[in-house]
Amino acid sequence: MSSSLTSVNSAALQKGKKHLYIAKTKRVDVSELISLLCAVLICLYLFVLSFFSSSALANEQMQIKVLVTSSENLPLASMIVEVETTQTNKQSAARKSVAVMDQIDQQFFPHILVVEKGQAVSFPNSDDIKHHVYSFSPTKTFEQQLYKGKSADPILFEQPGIVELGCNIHDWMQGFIYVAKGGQYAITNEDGVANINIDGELTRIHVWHPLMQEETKRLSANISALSKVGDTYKIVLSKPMIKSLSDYERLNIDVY
Amino acid sequence: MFIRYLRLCLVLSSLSIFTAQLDAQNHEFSGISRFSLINTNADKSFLNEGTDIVRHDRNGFSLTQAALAIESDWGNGISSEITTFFHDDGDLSLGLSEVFIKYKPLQRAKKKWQLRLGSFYPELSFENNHTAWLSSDTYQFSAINAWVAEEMRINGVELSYSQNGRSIRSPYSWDIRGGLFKGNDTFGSYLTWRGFAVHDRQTLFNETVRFAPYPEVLNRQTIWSPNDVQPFREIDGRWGVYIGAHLAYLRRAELRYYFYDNRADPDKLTPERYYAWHTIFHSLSLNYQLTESTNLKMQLMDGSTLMGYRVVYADFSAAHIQVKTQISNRIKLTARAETFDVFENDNMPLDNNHSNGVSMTVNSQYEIDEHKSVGLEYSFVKNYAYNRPSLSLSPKAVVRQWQLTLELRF
Repeated sequence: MSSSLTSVNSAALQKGKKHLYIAKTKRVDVSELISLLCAVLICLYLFVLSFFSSSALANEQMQIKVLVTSSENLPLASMIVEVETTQTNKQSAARKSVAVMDQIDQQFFPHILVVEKGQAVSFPNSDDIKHHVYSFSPTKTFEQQLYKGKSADPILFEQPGIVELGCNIHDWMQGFIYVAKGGQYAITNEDGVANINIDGELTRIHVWHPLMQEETKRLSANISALSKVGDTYKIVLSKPMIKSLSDYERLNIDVY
Repeated sequence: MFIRYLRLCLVLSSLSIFTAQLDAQNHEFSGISRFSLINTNADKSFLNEGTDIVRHDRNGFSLTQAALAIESDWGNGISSEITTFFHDDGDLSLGLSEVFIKYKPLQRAKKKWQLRLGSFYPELSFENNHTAWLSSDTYQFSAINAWVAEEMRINGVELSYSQNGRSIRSPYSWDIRGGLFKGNDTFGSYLTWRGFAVHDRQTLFNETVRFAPYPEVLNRQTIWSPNDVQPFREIDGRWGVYIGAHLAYLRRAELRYYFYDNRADPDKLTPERYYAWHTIFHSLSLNYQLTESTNLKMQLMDGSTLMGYRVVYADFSAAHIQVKTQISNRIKLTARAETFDVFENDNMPLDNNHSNGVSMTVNSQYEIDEHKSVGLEYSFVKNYAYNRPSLSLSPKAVVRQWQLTLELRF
C-alpha cells in the first residue's frame, strides 16, 4: 500500500508542477486542475484510512464465551462472570452513569445489581412506605433513609467486591450489589453462557452468585486450568447451589 | 358541629405552620380521609346512647375518617409516630389515637430487637394495615378490632426479639414480644354492657365513650356506675402484661398469638364509680396469601372479664374470616363473616350481660389513582343483647347499612 501511495503522490506532484507552469504562463487547463484536486483528495483519503485502520487494530476487542454449570453439569443462569486480562481492566462508559437499585413492593429490585468500581447507585423508593437501606459489608458500609416520594443522593461504590443490602424496617428485604473492577463482566443467560468483550489476553475468570457454596466467596480460576469446548471456557461449581428462597419476593427475582 | 369543623381548620392551619418549620427530610406525613354517603336502618347508635352496635344511625353524608400520621426519624435508630384524628361524632372531635417512640438500631446480628414506648396498639391482627390503623379492605372493622379500637391501647413499653428467616436461609421467621402497660383498667366494661359492635370509630386519648343508660347500670341498688367509659384510665396502679409470638412462612403466611392480662384489681373503683375490670384474652390471627390475587385473614379471640366480687363476670369470644380478591389492578372485592358472643356468669343476674350476634360485610373498591379510591360496602349486623328489654326494646336488632365512600390519601 505504501509503494502505491508513493507513486500516486509523485504523479500528483508532477502534474502539480505542470499545472503551476501553466498557471505561470496564464494558460489554465481545467482538466489538469481537476486531476490534481482528485489526486490530493485520494491521498488524503488513503492517509486517513490508514490512520484509522491502524488505531482500530490497536483497540481490537475479542469476545469470549464462558459457560457456568452446576456440580451436576446443568447450565446456571444469572451467574455473574468477571474476567481479568493482561491489559489494565478498562472501565466502560456505563461507569459514568448512575445505576438504580429500586424498592418495589417491599423488595430490592433488581435482586442483584452489577456495577463497576467508581460507579454511583441511586436507591429510589417506588413504594408508598418508608425504607431504611443499609449494608455492613466491608466493600461498602452505609445506611440511607428512603422516604416515600423523596429522592436520596446516589451512593458511590469505590471498592470492588460484594455488598449485601438489607432494610432496617422490613427485615425480609435482601439485595446484592456486585462491584466489578472494570467493564469486563457479564451475566449468564438461560443456557448458562456469559458473552464478554475483552481487551488483551484472558488470564483469569471469576464467578459469583449469592447462592453459591464454594470455599471462597467467588469461584476464581486461572485460564490455564480451565477446559475449553470450542470457543467456550467452562467453569463447573464444586458444590450444589443453595435452594433459592425467592418466594420471599413477590416480583420475579430470577430475571434481571 | 360547626365548632368541631372550626376547630379542625384552626388545628390544620397551626399544623401547616408547624410542619413548615420542620426539616421535611426527617418527617413523613400520611393523611387519609373518607367521605361517605350512608344509608342505614339503624335505630340509635351506641355513640348516641342507643343500643345499636353500629356507628351510624342517620342517612346522609358523613366524614367517616380524617387522620394525619407523622413518622419522624431522630437518628441512631430512634423514630416516632403520632396519629391524629378528627371525628364528627362522639365525645372528642380532635385528638390523638397513637403516640410512640420506636428504637431499632441497625444491628449486624441475625436476631434483632426493637423497643416501643408510648401509647399504641399491639399488633394482634392483620386487619388494620392502613394509615392510622384503618383497614384497607373494609371500612367497618371486625367486631374484635372495633372493640380493640374503642377500649384498648398499650400505654407502656413493648420489647420484641425477632429473626427473619431469610438471613439464615430459612423460610421461617419468628418474632416474640412482651409488653408492660398501665392505663387500660376499664377494658371490658363496653363489652359486657353493650356487647361486641361493628364500626370504625377509634377512641382518642382522654375521650369518654358513652353507651345506653341501662337502669341496672345506673341504679344505686345494682351496679351504680356512669353509662360511659374512660377507656385509658388507670385505677388500681397495677401493671398489665402481654406476650405475643409471630411465626411466618416466607411472606406467604403468618400466624400471630397474643395473651393479654391487664391484671386490674376488680375491687377498685374511682370516686366517680368507674370500676377496674380484670380482663384477659387469647388472640390468634392468620394471614394467608392463597394465590397471587387472593388473600385470607382470620382471627379468633377468647377471654373473660371480671368487675367487683363477681358483680359482673363474662366470658367472651369472637371470630371472623375474611377473603379478599384482587379482580384487576384497580378493583378488589372483600367479604367478611363473623360471629361474636358474650356470656355472663355472675352474682348479679339483674344486670344481664348476655349478648351475641353475627355480621357479614362485603366491600368493593376501585383505585382511581394512588391518592384516591372509591368503594361501596354493605354490612349486615344481627345481634341479641338481653339487657335491651330494660329499655323497653327487643333483644334482637338487625342493621343493614350501605356505605359509598370516597377515600383521599397522601
